[in-house]
Amino acid sequence: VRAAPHAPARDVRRLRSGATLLLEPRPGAATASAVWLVPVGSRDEPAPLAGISHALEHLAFRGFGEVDGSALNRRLDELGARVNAFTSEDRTAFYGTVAPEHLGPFLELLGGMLRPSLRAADVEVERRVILEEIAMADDEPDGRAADAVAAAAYGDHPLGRPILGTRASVDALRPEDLRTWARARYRAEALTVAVAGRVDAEEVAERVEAATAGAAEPAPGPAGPAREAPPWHAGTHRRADRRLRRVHGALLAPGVPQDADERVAAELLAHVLGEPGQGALHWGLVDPGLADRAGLQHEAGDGLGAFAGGFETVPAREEQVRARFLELLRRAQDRPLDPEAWTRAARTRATDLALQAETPLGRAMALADAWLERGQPDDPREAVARVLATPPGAGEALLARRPFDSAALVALGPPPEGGEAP
Amino acid sequence: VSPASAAARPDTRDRTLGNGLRILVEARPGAGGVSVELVVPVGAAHDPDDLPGATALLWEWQDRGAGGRTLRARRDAFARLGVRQGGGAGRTHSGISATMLADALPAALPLLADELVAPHLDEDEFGRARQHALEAIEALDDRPAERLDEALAARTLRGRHGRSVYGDAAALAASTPRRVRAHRAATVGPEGALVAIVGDLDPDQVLERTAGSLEGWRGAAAPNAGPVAWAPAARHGLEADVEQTQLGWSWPLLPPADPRTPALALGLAALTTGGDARLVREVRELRGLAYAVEAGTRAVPGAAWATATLATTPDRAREAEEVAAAELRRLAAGVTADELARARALLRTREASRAETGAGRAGQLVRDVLLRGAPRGVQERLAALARPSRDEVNAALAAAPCAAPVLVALGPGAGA
Repeated sequence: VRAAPHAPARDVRRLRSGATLLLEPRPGAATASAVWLVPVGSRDEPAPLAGISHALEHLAFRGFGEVDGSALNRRLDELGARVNAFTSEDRTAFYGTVAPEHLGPFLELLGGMLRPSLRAADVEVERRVILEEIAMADDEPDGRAADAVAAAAYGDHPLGRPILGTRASVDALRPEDLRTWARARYRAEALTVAVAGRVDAEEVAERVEAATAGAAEPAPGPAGPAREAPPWHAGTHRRADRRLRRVHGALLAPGVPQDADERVAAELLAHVLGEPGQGALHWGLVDPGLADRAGLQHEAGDGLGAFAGGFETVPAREEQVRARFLELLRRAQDRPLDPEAWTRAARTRATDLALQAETPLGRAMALADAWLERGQPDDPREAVARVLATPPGAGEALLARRPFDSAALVALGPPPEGGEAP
Repeated sequence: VSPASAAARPDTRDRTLGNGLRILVEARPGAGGVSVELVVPVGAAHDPDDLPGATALLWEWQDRGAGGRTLRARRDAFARLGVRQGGGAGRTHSGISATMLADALPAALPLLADELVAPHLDEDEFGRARQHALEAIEALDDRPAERLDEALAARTLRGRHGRSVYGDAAALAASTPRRVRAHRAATVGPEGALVAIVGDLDPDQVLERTAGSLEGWRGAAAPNAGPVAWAPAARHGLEADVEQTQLGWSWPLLPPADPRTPALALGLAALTTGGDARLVREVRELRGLAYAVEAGTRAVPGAAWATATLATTPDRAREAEEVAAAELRRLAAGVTADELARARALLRTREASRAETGAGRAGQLVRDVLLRGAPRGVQERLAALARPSRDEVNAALAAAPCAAPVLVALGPGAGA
């Protein structure tokens, strides 16, 4: 397998504002993309403020300074900006793609969004949007099972709560809470900006410098409480919902953090065990017709990581599928990995990495993530080479820690016949 | 290759083989990999009347062994090459797709071709294929947004084109290997099929290799499914015990090959493309009625229709329905110059972004050929969005009115 052909020029700059700028010009690109990444997410939130990072991400689109939400959206549309944002457990990202000639004004608008106005009327309307988003998530049982297993594994720790928050916590959010959160968290020195595509590096640096100079005035005190390690509660649980017709399972097991050397091995191990259509779970559960979905991936976070898996089946086969799902993972801990399967996983993963590098947005995302996670800019050729050079022994070393012995598993489905489940 | 397009796109090859298969190859030097789209003109619209879902089942079955390799041997062979492979049955066309690093293509092409040219269709694999097809139907039970999509298509298109791609569970449960083989013999072949390959490749070499892998393919062409027939505009309520009410609208558009289609696309963009688009602003930004409201264009050869969907809590469904319906009516009166300028900028970025991935560009080539009869270069596609005047856009909107759409509401109390 050949490594990705791009050998792009990369540039890391610490701006006077304190923000970090990662640049990767690609002169032949048709577009330019930017990612603004702030290290704040649901795991930083005290219980009464659950969902505030996600709410703030939404409200960033409702204007700053003299620019109201309608004007901001119209201006983004005029630039042809395909823009979006997400909030996870540990980060908030604003990102988008424009025609190269519109990159400058686009960067200015993204910078402004980190100083959101947070008008009371806007907070009220956006609250309704988020409550609809929570209702929508309630109609997505795979996601609900994933939230339920996080709650089971992490207990009262913020990682055990949904990123969106709860209806009660979102109902209770006040504009002043959001303002305090923005001042404490959307600070230039915490910001990573990655820009890739057909760009003029000097012009971008000037624009981002200007756009971040006015980022949130530092609040007194540290940027937030240090992230504490969560507790871990292994165990198997059943949750009942009479509206469901099928059983949706979700599993978490201890993995490795985002800056660990074993991270690549953990990704490949998850692939060997649980890649849809290819992994051991597929051949043990889906192919024989026991489950119609069964998979596993590795999710690396700040200070911790997890193997996250799931399955879907009919109620009549729930017991069998749940037991077999755990058995397939635990049995893998007792035997050597198939080196052929490991090589296949590495080659497929190498393709994914190379194809992610096709677009400026893919590159900007990879650059920003790698900087936040490991303090270094991503190099797609190195990433591909690292994957191909990781031996199966590295996966076996992870299995020797027996992560699946302490798995947490939740099955969400209709009440068992004859009564409600606990 | 027509002289004009060959001159404009020196890295593109376009050849139709003696068996009717059309091959398009486009070189993108420096791209990370290669993407392949192989499309056959058979879908749910061609399913036998007594076996809806026959094509979906066939696609499951033919994946389970081909070219002397079992399903597992095929999956392993693809993975050894680092190939990501997918595909499935559709409404009028079905296909297989793959992405890979460039050096995997020579070995991957014959493997991909095997599924269509040399499927085993073993009797002892039939049961599992059928079970997977049935499970895909059952899995819709817990997915209200997908149920809305199915219901909306069935109430927009009459007859064969409105059939579920998944098929009918009772008919599939009673199906036999012989019946599905007969369906394949009558419908799957190279005539009208298309393969598009885009990436970091030598176009002449890849054209020859692809021709070599597929020129021996023989088979029948699916009979014409006939013209699309539109169902009358009506409101349909479907009861469902779910958290949100799903609302979906649809209405017929101009046929995809109509020269006014780019103008119409620019006009429709005013509904949901961008944060200040009309439906987004009225439904979400001003009233907070939904997390997302989306509109899109669906097309089969000869016909296209628009859809708009949102989900809201049941006690706000009436308001959301009225607000959205008013915006759909208003669109027939046309868009402003500012709206048109925004639509142009947004659609241009979308087109250019899609063309930056091999898979996105291969998809553009396939859709151009299936829906318009000829592929367009990236610049040609962008120029089509730059050209239409506001008068042309508004005339196209008036010719495809959305004042009387089909509406499907799915949720608690919606069936009352």
